[in-house]
Amino acid sequence: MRLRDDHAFEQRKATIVAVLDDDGDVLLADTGKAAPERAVRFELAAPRHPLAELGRFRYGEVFHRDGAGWVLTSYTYDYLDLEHGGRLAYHWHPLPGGPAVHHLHCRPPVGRPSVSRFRAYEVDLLEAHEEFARLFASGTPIDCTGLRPLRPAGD
Amino acid sequence: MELTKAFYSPREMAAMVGVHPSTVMAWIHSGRLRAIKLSERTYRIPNKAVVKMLAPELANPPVFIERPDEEVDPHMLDDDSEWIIG
Repeated sequence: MRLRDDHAFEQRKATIVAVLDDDGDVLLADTGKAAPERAVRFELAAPRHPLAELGRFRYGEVFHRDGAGWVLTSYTYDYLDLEHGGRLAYHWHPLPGGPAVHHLHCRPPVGRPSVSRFRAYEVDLLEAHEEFARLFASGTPIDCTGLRPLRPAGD
Repeated sequence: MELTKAFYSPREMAAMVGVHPSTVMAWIHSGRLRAIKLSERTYRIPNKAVVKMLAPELANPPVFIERPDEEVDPHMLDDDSEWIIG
């Protein structure tokens, strides 16, 4: 994904915050536009005020400056179910000794997953959030059954 | 009015506001009211969206932080350990 300029970057941030702000309390951290590499992190605690936090959503993105614009180079979109336990996360970043790979982390409420990373496809932040929000709103615990382990590089 | 549930159905929202459920559905479909679609006929309205409509003064606004000195780490959160809550 490429954002054509700083204005488009800020617009996208505002759109994401507006969506997340309807689901709970939001924090946005941004390293800013001064450096050629930029990290943005959206944190959502839901439902919050006056209720206890039952779900935490943490979405991180790293961009590189490309002319006037910004190119997305990695992301980590995480959902933590605080009510039942468990974690579901779509990631795209370099793995040790290799290139950036789309993968999924899934930890069920009970026990540990058989592998640390599963196969996944590319997702957009709001696309990932809708999936996580549906899971959270349905009250369904995270289920890792049926996921396929990430193949090692060269396999 | 005390909003003690994490999510509300359109019917519950309609009763709180004093409108017909179809009005709430129209708000949802127009984007005026946030709702999460669980199935073709099932929607859940988050507590915060209800608070923002009924008592916006109680809603916590988003917090913005600029961290120009923060180290950019593309491997952030890849380790599961940070997410294990004690």
